[in-house]
This record gives sequence, C-alpha cells and structure tokens, in this order.
Amino acid sequence: MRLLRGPNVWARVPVLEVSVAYGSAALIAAELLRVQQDAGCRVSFSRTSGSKAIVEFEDEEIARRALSLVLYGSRDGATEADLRECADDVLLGPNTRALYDAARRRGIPVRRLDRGSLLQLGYGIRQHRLCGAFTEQTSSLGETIGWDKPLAKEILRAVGVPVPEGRRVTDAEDAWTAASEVGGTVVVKPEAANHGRSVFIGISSRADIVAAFESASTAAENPSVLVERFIPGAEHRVLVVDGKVAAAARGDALYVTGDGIRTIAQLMDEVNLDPRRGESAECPLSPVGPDEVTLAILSGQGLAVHSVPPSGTQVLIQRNGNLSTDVTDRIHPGNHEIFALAAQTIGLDIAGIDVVAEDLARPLQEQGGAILEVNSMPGLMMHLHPEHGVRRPVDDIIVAKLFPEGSDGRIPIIAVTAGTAVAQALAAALTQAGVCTGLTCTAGVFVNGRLVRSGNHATSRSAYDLLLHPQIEAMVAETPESAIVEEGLAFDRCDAILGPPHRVLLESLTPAGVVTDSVERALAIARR
Amino acid sequence: MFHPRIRDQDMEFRKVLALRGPNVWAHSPVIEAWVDLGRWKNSPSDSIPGFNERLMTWLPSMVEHRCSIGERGGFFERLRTGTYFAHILEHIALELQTLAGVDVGYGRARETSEEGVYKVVFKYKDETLAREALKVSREVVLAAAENRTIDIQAEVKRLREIAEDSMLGPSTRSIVDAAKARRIPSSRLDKYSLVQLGHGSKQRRIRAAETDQTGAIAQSIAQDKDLTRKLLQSAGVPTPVGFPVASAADAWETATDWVGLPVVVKPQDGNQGKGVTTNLTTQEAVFKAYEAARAISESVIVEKYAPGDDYRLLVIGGRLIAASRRDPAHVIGDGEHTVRELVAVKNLDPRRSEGHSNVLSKIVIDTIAEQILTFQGFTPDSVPAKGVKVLIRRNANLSTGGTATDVTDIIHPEVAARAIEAAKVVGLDIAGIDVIATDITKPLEEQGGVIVEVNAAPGLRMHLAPSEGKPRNVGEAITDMLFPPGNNGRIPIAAVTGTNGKTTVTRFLTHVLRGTGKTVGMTCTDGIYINDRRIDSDDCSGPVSAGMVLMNPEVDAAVFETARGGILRAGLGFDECQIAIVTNIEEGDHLGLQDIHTPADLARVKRCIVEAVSRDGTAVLNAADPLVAAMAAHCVGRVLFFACEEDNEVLVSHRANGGRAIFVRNGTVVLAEGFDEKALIKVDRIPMTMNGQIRFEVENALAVLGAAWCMDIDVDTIVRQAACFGSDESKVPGRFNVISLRGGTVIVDYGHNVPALRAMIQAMDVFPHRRRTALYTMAGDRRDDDIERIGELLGDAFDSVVIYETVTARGRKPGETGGVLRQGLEKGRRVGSVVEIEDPKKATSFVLDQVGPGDLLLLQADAIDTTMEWVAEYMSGLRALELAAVS
Repeated sequence: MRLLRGPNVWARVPVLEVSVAYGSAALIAAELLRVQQDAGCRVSFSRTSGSKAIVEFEDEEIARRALSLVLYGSRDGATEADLRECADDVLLGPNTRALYDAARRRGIPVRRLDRGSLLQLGYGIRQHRLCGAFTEQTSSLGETIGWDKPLAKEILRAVGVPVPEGRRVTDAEDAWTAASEVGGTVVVKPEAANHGRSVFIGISSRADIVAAFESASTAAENPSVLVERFIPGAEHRVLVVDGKVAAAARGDALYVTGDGIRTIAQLMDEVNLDPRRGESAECPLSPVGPDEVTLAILSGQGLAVHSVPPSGTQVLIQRNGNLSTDVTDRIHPGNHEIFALAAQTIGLDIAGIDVVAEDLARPLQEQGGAILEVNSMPGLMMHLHPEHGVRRPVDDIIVAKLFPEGSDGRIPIIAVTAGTAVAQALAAALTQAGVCTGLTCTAGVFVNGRLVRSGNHATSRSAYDLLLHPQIEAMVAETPESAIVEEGLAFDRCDAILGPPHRVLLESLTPAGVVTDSVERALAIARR
Repeated sequence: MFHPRIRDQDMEFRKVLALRGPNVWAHSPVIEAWVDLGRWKNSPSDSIPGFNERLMTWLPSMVEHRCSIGERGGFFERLRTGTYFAHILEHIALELQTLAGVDVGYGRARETSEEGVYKVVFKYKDETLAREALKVSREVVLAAAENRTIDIQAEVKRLREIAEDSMLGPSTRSIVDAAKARRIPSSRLDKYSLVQLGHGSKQRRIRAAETDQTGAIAQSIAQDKDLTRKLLQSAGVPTPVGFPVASAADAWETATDWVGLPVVVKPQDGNQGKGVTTNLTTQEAVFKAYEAARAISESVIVEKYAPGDDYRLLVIGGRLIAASRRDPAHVIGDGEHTVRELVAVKNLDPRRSEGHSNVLSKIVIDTIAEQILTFQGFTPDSVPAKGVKVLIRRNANLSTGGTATDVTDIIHPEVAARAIEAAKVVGLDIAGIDVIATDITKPLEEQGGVIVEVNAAPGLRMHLAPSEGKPRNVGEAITDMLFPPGNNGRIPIAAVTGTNGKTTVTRFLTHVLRGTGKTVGMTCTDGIYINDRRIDSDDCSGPVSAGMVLMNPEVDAAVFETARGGILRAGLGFDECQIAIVTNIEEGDHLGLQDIHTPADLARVKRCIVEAVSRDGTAVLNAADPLVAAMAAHCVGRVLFFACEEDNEVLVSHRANGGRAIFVRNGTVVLAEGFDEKALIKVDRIPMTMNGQIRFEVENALAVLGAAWCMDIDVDTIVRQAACFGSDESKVPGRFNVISLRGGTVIVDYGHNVPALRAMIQAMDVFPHRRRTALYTMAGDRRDDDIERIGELLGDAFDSVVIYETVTARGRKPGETGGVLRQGLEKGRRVGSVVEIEDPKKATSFVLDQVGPGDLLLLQADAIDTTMEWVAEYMSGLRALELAAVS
C-alpha cells in the first residue's frame, strides 16, 4: 500500500494505491471509496490496474483506517461509526471548508498544516495562513480584547460606538442592583456566552433577575455574569472584513408549529434534525432543547415541554439564534461606518459584530440600537447559506483580502529530470540572480545555497515540505521518475520541466510552461 | 480596632482628587487632598509632647527628606521647629509610597481661603496605592498625636502588596518606560497589562511582550510543538528528531526504535516547559514522563535529547535583541550536607528574596521538587556526593529559583540567524527561542545544537534583570519596532481655553484642520465630535472626553476646548499639546468656586495648557490681555501673539525678538515672523466677523488662523476654510447666530458672563435697530455680584428684558437668581419693561412673537441644544417667512 499525495500516474487527485494479494481489487476499490464517502470524505475517484486498487483519499488517517476496515473488518474492534467520529474530528469544518474551496476556485494552492483548521494558501514567500476566519493578520490582542466583554464595551463606548449600558455583577443581589441602575428591562448573560446559551432577555422583575443570575453563573466555565440594558429589536450578525461590511444577517425568532399530536419536546427534536444545528463551533445554529431560557419562554406562553399545542398553533421557542435573513444591502451608510469603527477599535481584521436593532436601514443611534459583541473568528455559514435573501460570497471576500485579484500565491517551480548537477546549476544561477531559491535534490535540501537538510532529498515529500518555507521565491525540485511513481508530485502545477518530461509532469505544466534542456531557458521562466 | 468616634472625625479629608494629567501643581500626576485639620489646626508638631519622636521612630527613613531646608534631615528639622499637620501628611504619604517600592518625590501643602483647610499635594505613579498611602498617613499622624501605637511594618507590607498588584509588571513596564524616553504617550486600557501607546490613528497596543501585530495564528502554531518542528525543519532550522506518540508503550518504542536514547518527552501543546521531562534512558522513566506530559496535553511528543545548556534567544522584529543562558534551580553536592541544607545555603543569597520583583527567587522544596528529586534518586534529606549536580526544578524559570546569565554578546551569528528564521517561519514579531547547545559561540550544526521551542509573548525579566551579566533594554527594541524612528505616536493636539470664545475657536480650528483631509476629533462644551459624527452631547470640555478622542483609532488630529473645571478636578487629558490657545482671561463666570477668586487665580489654572506645549509646539496668546500675554514666560515652545492692532506693545516687542504674530492691518489679516510679513486674508472674507465689525470674532479668527499657521497647514487651505466658516447655527450652535425674522434681527448666543455680555452689546451696534429686547437667565452658581452686574448691563442696553428661571438653578432657591438679576436691572438706564416668564420655552415663543421690523432680539441660550431646537421649531412654524442667515 502506498499513498500518492499529489498528482500521480493514476489521477490528478491524491490516491491510495493498494496491491491486492487475494480477493477482488475492484471490490476493494469500490468498498474503500464507499467507506470513506460514508465517513464524510469528499472522494469520487477509484479504479483498478491489474491487482492494484487505486482510490482517492482526502485524509491520510481516515484512508488508512478505512483500508484496515475494508481488508480486515472490525478485527481490532474498530467500526465504521468510529471512522465517522474520527472524520468529524479531522475533516475540515464547514467554515474552513468554504475558505478552502474558495481558494481552490481561484487557482490558489491550499494545504492543511495541522489536524485542525490551519491552512496554508499559496507557496513560499507568497503564502498566507488561514484558520477558519482567522488570518495571519488577525491580532491575538484583538481577539483577547473582543473576548473581554466589559473591556471591549468600555473601549467601544469611548470611541462613540453605541453599546448597552450595564456592567459585570458579582452575585444575585448585585445583579438586581445593576438592573436597577440600568432601569427598565435588562439582559442577564454569562460573560462567556456562546450561541446565546443561558442568555436571558428582556426581564425586569427581581425574581426573574435573581433566577437568571443563578442560571447564567453556572452556565459557563467562567462564572462572571453581565447585566445590561435590554435593547429592543432583532439580533443581527455583521461580518466586517478589512474595515468593510462583507455581509449582514438578521436573526429571526424560531417557532414550532403544533400538529395537535406531538409534544413541544418532540417538535423541537424535529428542529434539531437540521444539519446546521449542533454543539460544535462550526455549526451556525445551536440545537434547541429544554434549557432554562426555552423553559422560561414557554412558561411565558403558558406552556411546558410536554404540552401538545393544537394543530396550526405557532409556539415561540427561541427569540433569536436563527440568523438567517440577509440584510446586507439594507445597511444605512452611517451604520457601515460604525461597524467598521467597531472592528478597527477592537483590533480585528475580520470581525463578527453582534448588533441589536429594529432595522439596520436606519442609524443605530436613532433607534436605540447597540453593538453587543465584536467576535473574532466569526462563522460564515449564515452568510453563505442564509435562509432568506441573497447568498454573500464571504469566503471569496476573505480569500481576496489575502490574495488580491490577479495573484494566485504561486512561486515559480521548476521540475528537474536531468539530474542533480543540472538542478544545482539552475538553483545556483537563480540565487545568483537574487532570487531566494529552494532546491531539493539527491544532495540534500538547500535554501539560497545553504544546506538545510542533508541526505537524498530528490523526493516529493521534501519538495512538499520546502514549499512551507516562508522566504523562498522559487523552487527547483529534482523530480526523478521514482518520486513520481512512488509518491505523486509535491505540487499541482509546475512552470518548467528541465530535462526529459514525464507524463505526469507534462500534465502539470502551466499553459505558459516549457519543457527544455536549457538551464538559461528555465532560469528565464523562473525569473518571470 | 476601635477608634473613639470623636477623634476619627477631627481631621478629615474634604475631597481627594487624582490630577492624572498636567495640572496646576506639576506636569505629572499628583494627588490633591483637601484636608480639614479640625481641632488640630492650631497644633504644630512641636506643641505635642512625643509627637516628633514617635514619627521619627516609626519612619526613620524620612531623614532623607530634605524639605525646604535643602539638606538631609531637613524635614526632621522642620518637625522640631514646628510644622503643621498638612505638611506632615504630605511627607508621610510620599515616604509610604517610597517604602512600598514606588519612588516619588514632589509634594506641597498649601492653605486654602478657609481657615484650617489645606490642600495636600503629592506625586504618585499608582493611584490605588497613593490613595491608600494617604489614608494610612492620616492614621499615622493621628496615632502619633494621640500617643497610640500603630503597626507601621504591617501597613507598609500591605501597601507594597497593593503596589505589586496594581502596577504594571516588569515586562510591560520596560516597554512603557522605553516609550516614555522617546516621548511616546502611553495609557493603560485595563487593570492588567494592556497598554495603548501613542494616540488616535497612530496608536499601537501591547500587553507584555505581545503586540497588536502578534498574530493569533502564529501564537497557536508556537503552541503546537509538532507543527512548529515541521515548519522549522522546512526552513532549515536544526530541531531534534521527534514524533507524536499515542501511548506510553508507543513512547518507549519510538524512543528506542526511531529516535534513539536518551530522549525528551513533552506535551504537544504547551509552553514554559510544563510537563517536559528530559534526558530519559529507561522504560520506567519514559512511562512516567509520558504520564506527566499527558497531564498537560492530549498529544505527546518523544524527541531526541540534545545535551547542553538551555538558552533563551529573544527575537524582536527580525533582530536578535538578547540572549540568556538559563539554569534551573539546582545544588552541587559536597558529600556532607543534605539537599535541604544545600538549598538553605543557596537561599542565603540576598538577591533571593520572596516576591517577583527580585533578580532571583528563593528555591523552594515543594512537592514538585520532591518528585524531581525522587526521579534523580534523592530525597530532600539525602546527602549527594561531592560535585554531583542535583536539580530542584526541571525548567529554568526565574520564579522557581532558576538563574539567567546574559550571553547576548557571545552568540554566534549563525545561531542568531537560525533563531531569526525560527521566529519568521512561525510568524511571530516577538519570539523567545529556546536553544540547546553545548557552546553557543559556535554554529548549532557543528555541535548538534537544536532549537526546541518557539515561545510567543516571552518573559522579558531574564533579559531586563539577568542574575548575571549585562541587562538588556528589550523594551526599547519593542518600542522601536512599533514606532520606527521619527514616529513618536503623537497626533497634533490643539488645546483651547479662555473665558470667552473658546468654543468658537475650537470649532473654527477644527473646521480649518478638516480642510487638510484629516479626521479631526473635537471636544467642547457641546459634546465630542469625530468629524461630523457627534458621539457625546454633554459638556465635554474635560479630560475624560479628551482621553476618549485620543483612544479613537480614526482620529488624525484633535482640538480640545479645555475648561477650568476639568483642569482643577483631574488635570489635563493629555500630557502635551502642539498648540495651546488662550483667548482671554476676564471677570468671567464661576469666580468664587473651587477656591478660585480672582482672574489671576483663573489665569494660573488656564496656564496649564501653555505649560503643556511641547518644545516644538506653539502657544497662541492674546497680546491685548495682560494675564494671557504673561503666560508666554511659561511656554517651553514657541509663542505666537495675536491682536487686532499691530501696534500692540507686547506684539511689537515679540516681533522685535523675531517672534511670530498675527494681526489686522487695513482690513487684512497679516502673519508675521520677526519683520517678515505675509498678507493672509481680508477680514471681510471671514463671514463670522460680520465684515470685521464684531471685534471679539475678529480676535477669535486671529487666534485660529495663527494656530493653523503654526500647525504648518498650507496657506491656501487656511484661507479657503476661513472663508467658508460662517456663524450660522450649523457651525457653532448658540455662538452669535444671527437670524432674520419679520424684518427684525434675532441673535442667539450662549454668552452668560459679564465680559461676554459686554462684547455682545458692543457687537449689536452693528445691526440697525429700533427697539432692543433681551431674553436672559442665569445659572445659579455665579457670584451675586456678577449676576447683579449682568442685570445692570442689560438694563443699560435694552428697552425690554424678559427673564426666566433656568433649569440649572445649581443650589439656589427658586426665584433667588431672578431676584438678584432684577436688582441689577433696576439700576439700568434704558430698560422700560422687565417681564418674568416661568417656562423657558414659553418665554422663547413670547419674545419671538414680539419681533417686528427694526427690532433686535438677543436670545440667550442657556441650554444651547434645546434653545436652538425651539427656535428651529418656531421658524419652521412660520412657513411664510424664510429662514436666512444675514451672512
């Protein structure tokens, strides 16, 4: 068995190549594809060649485990369910996946750097890193300030961004005092509230406030609780990228409709079948359940989870949290400025701003609207897949922020099949010309002539690793046939082939690329 | 502790102010406490038996206070000859801060106009500490006076703890100090280490060794040891061979089959050496180490052990700034003493004391130490053989007794190059690179040296105060990275003060500055504005509002109206300004408040902005006002004088010395520097001056144009902006707004003091009039004299006066202010009718209804916004009549 991680003799996609000693290669190929697909991998290619089964893979670990399952069944107790669980952990979540695909659509090479969401877009000196909606420009301090809600609020208030009045409270009594200071109806919520969990909205009585405090203070790891003025209106999520509003979605209340048969609990279970609902941060929507907020809302309607609402009756389940109506085009110009200022003030290049307002088409101040939070690493799904309104290409916008129109993050790559001496000569000439050059060859890995790894590195693995280097402006990769056959290519495209062209290399050649025996010609291509 | 109540009450603080910016006492922060000495007001120190002796015994180090005598022991001498309690409080408050580790030196004690009430003033660096020190000072003085005991050591210890809690930590401190040395302003954003450096659009933020450009992604990469190693390898940085392992058994297999013994076992995610065990050779040791690492992180790494010393290399902005060798706490056996005894001997080193502020920390034998000893086959009571090195800690953190030796100067350049590459490949602007090498003066590749870790937000203490070797000013390197040479993070600040005209000048100068395309933040009595956006609508002429503008990341330049109230209450909201404009100091409003009784007192307060002018800045002063002109002597920067007449004596002699001036000659504004002159603009092109007829507006315009010139704004922009700054409602609401109504003229103005009214009456002569009416009210916090005087002026200049009760009665009984005003009106020679209408809105409509052809109405707008609203409402109600400004 071997893993061909790049374009290879079988396909342009990474494949698992299995020599089948006994049994049907075709059956194994088909089964291996299915198991991976069932686990959630995006794979579609499979074929056989003699006794070899060749199957596309997305993730190495899943591929290995899938193979073990197909060949040996649940011999070591592993099941397909385990594999799905593993895939949930290691496959890209929807946000990162969207960005991954957006980069690919632009022809930008993308690779994963870890088992999480960290991506490298582009090669060498042209690379940028992305991790969900974090870019390498996202300031850690900005993230910290955004998380520290009282501090964020104070700074925002100072620069004139409307925020709700209120403060952090220490106990139930203090919560009541703070509510009295603010006056009217208030919101009680954990400082580390996520997805609107344990957030109590629009309460004013002492009993409600005390109860809300108790629930909010035990809801999160951090027991700090905030009491703030209740801002009437709908919750909105505004995505700001580099000081511009990229998208805005309005959150609508969630209702279930009674059928006269099922209980509210059963109706809520149905709501949770929506794949966008889940506990993980990648899910744009929280699951609904009989938590205290929901119970309070239900009791406000004279209902409980076991009630069976008559057919056709609408029952309010969540006041917000269904961020699903795109309102990007409605935003008042003055609000644009406020949102940009909020992101800039917190110090985030990409920010998800939680805004409560009646209507973003009118100035916030005019309607008593306010910004509640400025979040780092905002979710993108609500803008990419709104329930109502226009889809906003926020994935493309974020990629375009790192790679402006016309740049694809690539550096010149010259594949050398004419031997180590030729590769070294080309690399030396490039270095001489002032290009920071990486070289992989049988004599080792070199950066600008300095040996950085010794041994035979005329391998795809070494070339792949070298493309991580943040300074190289061009790469010369000695690419013997053995590397292509045994590993697949390290890159999806190359700009020139110096020496006899292998078929897989030819297929990878860019439209403007050349096949040449002349070092000078290759040099000219690499400097272009 | 029980204090008899009567004694507690007999020396009290009336108020304790923290003047956080430049103030009337000093350029740096001071506490100003108003203390009522009560029954001690006639008891100097020498009149109470034993008082001095007790104080000198309790706080013997006060012998260093030189006081007015100017030599060591000076203050003790003053005690012996007899000094009053306020003065003693000041010295104790200073001494307690010093004993708490915060060295401050300046103090003053001054009488107020009230007998027995003093202002005690002293410098501070930390407000929490200073306020607490003041309270303790009072306790100390009373205890000494009443012959009670006080545990001064316990109090000092408590104050020291307060100081350590609330002051910046050493890393952040070093950056803030370096910034200060470059005149870069700084302010704390939270009670921890988050600090803003610079102002407005030039601001940057730091938190210890983390900046606003430290990437969140880079930080998480640095946390992931496996990814870090992969990236380092790709960049050709030597790293130990290593692999993630899945179990203890896997760890041992990896150690023996793939890596080779000895090995290091460490968590994949983590920092500061937590859960790391090194130099393992046995299966048992690897198993134990695996568990220790597993406790920190789900994933564990086994890597090849590299022998050698631990080094920490600090890379800032792509440069190697400092390097230390780090040795964990250890003892060397002598074959006689136990480990415990050897540790005790080491702790005798005076540099090892408790707390974090010391160069070395005490070595403690705790459970972690015992585990480490067990690992090496010792207990605290074993006697290690002579020459055997026994580790008490694995990591070399200073806080657990480790030592750091500066080695910056001997690092081989190739080692430095690898460290810089390591920071670059991870993507950190500030990185602490952990290197293991046997000889740091040689390239790593020659000796099997490796880079084992890249740390984000590295500790700086080991470089700032190494246990051995040269301290490195790493704060300076961080500051220089954030603020390259030539950028001190400052934006232009213009401060404006004076009795009258300051809001107009503030708005006019803002208008001129905006002509340059800059985003201008402005504070004035009407609110805070960022360009056109009004972010606050209260009176914002104080330091908090100025601070809000300087925090705003959009703001490129700031103009601050600076009222006396804020200066007295909290000092200035900025540490220095490029421009200070003082319009005039007159018998203004508010005399008699806050111990300010005369215009000279007021001048002393308002002078603060002139004292805050930077060396390359300019004070723009009214040459015709002697109190203002005299402020020139207190300006370290340049001075520009303005005056309507070019033959003003002050102006003439200033020009003779090569100074700058601005004045009017034959209807043209002229800029002058020494004898060089330049005509700027004809006065009649400045709409606000009503063809140059309103003298005080001409003066205001001169101040603005002079300031703009000194801010190096190009002349074309100045002229263009001056010509389009009118005096209609939109520019300066309530500042001499002129409206035509039914062939008559309505003037709306905020002026509410004697000089303002006098100027107004003079300016009104410009308008033709048959009958003059005034609508007027007074806020209650003026002196009776002033209110009466206003009544008299009104009575002399108007045919009919309507008065109403203001919403801001400010502590007076209803009708009281009106009564005083009437007394003045009765002295007036012109006034025929005086009507009092209770409701201000009704009063406004009433007088507006009366306006007919040839009438002149002065509407005094006490609450500008509401008055302007009413007028607008009234005008829009009169559909037939067109609203038009005379200009």
